[in-house]
Amino acid sequence: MMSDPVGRQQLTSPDVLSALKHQIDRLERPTLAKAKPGDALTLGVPEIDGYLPWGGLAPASLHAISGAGVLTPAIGFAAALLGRATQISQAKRPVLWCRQGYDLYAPGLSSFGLTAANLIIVNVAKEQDLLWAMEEGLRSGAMSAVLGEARAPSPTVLRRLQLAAETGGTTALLLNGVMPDGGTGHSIGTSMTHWRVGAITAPVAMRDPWPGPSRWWLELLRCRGGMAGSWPVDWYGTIGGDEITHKEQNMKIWEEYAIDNTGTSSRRGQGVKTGSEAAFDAPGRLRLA
Amino acid sequence: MPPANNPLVTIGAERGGWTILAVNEAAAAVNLRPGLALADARALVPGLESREVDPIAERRALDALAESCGRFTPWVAPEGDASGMCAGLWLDISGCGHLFGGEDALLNDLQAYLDRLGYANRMAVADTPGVAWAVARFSGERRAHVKPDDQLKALAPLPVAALRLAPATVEGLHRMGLRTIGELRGVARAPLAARFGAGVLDRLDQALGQRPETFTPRRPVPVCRARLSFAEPIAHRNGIDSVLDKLLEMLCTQLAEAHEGARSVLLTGFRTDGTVAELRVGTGRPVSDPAHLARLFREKLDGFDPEYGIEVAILAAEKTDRLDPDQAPLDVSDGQVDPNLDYLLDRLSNRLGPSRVLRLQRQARHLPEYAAKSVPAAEPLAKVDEALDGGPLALRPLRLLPTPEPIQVMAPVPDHPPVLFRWRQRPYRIVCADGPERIAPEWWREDPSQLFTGEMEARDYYRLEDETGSRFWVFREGLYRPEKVVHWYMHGFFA
Repeated sequence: MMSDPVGRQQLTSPDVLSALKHQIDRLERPTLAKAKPGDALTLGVPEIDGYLPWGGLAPASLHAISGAGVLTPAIGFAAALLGRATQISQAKRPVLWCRQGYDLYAPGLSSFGLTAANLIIVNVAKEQDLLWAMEEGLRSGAMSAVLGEARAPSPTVLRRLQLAAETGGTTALLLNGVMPDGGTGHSIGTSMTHWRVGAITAPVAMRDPWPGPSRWWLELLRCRGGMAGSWPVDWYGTIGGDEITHKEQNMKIWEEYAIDNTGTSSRRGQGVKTGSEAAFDAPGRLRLA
Repeated sequence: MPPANNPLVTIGAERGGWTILAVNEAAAAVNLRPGLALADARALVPGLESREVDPIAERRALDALAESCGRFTPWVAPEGDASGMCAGLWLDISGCGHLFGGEDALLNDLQAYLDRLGYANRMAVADTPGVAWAVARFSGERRAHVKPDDQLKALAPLPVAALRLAPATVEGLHRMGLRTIGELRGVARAPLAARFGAGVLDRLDQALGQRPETFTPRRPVPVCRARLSFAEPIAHRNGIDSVLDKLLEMLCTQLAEAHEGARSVLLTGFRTDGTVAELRVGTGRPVSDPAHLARLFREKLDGFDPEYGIEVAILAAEKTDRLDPDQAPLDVSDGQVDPNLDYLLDRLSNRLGPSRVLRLQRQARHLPEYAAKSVPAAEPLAKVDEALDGGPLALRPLRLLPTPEPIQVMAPVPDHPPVLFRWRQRPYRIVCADGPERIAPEWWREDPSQLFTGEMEARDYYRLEDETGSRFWVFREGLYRPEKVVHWYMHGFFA
């Protein structure tokens, strides 16, 4: 019934490989059958997007983000993803951010493309309410992405969120607190990807002019159907609120690093040490690797 | 007050002794009257039962009764003086009669209802409040229905006190030999006005409908309402569900005809025991879609306890806004017209509270803590200052501490950015620094509560990066002066 569309000589082609991966994914998750690779939430960094099996964060699924040592860079990365989600969504749907604190700052958020028009914040008193709000937001299909800050969600909760994400066809992001520096990273089981984001200092040569862009150390701890990896990135922010176009690349991998990392990151963190160690003068950064 | 076969009176301390304030029917039958001293009453009726008056409880009971009379009409007001025999309720039943099969049937229902609750009652329905009041209290009939043409006839034999006059005026009229309203009407108006002021004539004119009289109902009367009453009280969730569907359909038809959309809808269930169950939902935008409202109600219906059963259910649109069917917004990309989104926001706001579902709006203010404010997400988005939202951004942190926290700072020279600071018991070694950015208080704002508390001083903000790459926003309060200790504060975090 199923004719073999793949010739033996073609098997090595990356296109065929990714096509096969999608086929497997669809068999595993029937609800995703309608999704196309183009529906993925891209990071806007060609190197990283190309590295991920869906060409970005898989649509309608749960992705976890942890902080490394401090939380703010992870919040920044999550905000960047949310901003991107609302900008690349067809209907410019807003995003929902469920949290338990009151410290998000509107002028800072607008440099992530998040404004009063496209960001709705739910401040809750209890974690149950937070998860309820997340689930409602995901199921409704009215949001382009839903972010929740939950410290230690149980596997049942994760499973529910994943199902809700599939039902509404919405990307779910889970910001689950800080992981200790250098920890091996117990990954979030049910999520499609698990990221760890830490702060990173730039080499002296890149410090002028300071402060320049935000600098993050992105670690992909786990990726279903893909491999782990890690990248130092610069985040330039989006100037002018929601007016920016998503064609503009506002997240970039460090230049000298991008070359090293291509194709070599079969193991997590391996790329860091190849050739660019000398470029990092701050010891605080390397222990993240 | 339950009907008792024994004489019962309420008493209060007046004129230096216990005085009867109110009597029940049995007491009235043995000639006890309000105003009589308790000692005298005891002489007439040995072993008379008496209770001290509790005005607050009486007021509360009257309010509760007024609330539960909402089943007859939305327009209910307790009468000003709640104590004792004078307690009364105004019900405006204009346009409500047809729900009961005529005004007489409504009176029947009302009387049966009050009897069942155990309240001794007298009632009258008339074209003006004045006639209704006079006839209910002074005609001696338990129930009277004064026809429009009979107003004067009904009023004429009643004593002048039936015009709601002050006791002194009543006494004055008596001294003139005027006992009944009929006699009063025969007297020339000018001398009456000269002697008693306009009050007497005003009351007379009001009673006869020649001068308008207005009252304020206890609750605002809703624009649209739907009402269902049941022969058999409803006590089960299934029944309530189907009643709600029916009511919503009726209400939304009315709303659609009026081109209105509901912003706040109240479901009231009148229980058999005279108490009331209420459930309210609010919406961010005017809604006239029964399905949308039904889903919001279903969420909360568990908190709607019918107890022994609900006899009458009323659904009222308390707050409505114009909803023009042909004014559908064209800009679909706005995202605001997505019905899914509206429903989601209403759901979140109804469960978590509107103050927890927010949008963060920027404001044109200098001090960082005032440069943003949160507004309920369900509210329509205020017009944002284009220049503010689109303009180039000075670097601002992603997170801002609600109140700046003091830090201990080490700097090589006083006017230099810190090289080391200690915040929440932890030291941070600074690698890079940028600043200062001076932010001055807004001296032109006069409201002191809007200014930074404490001394109004300019702040010098610095962006700092520690050796791990974390970035902070700190400021020094006030300008540096040699004789002064400077204070530093942590204020925000950059991503």
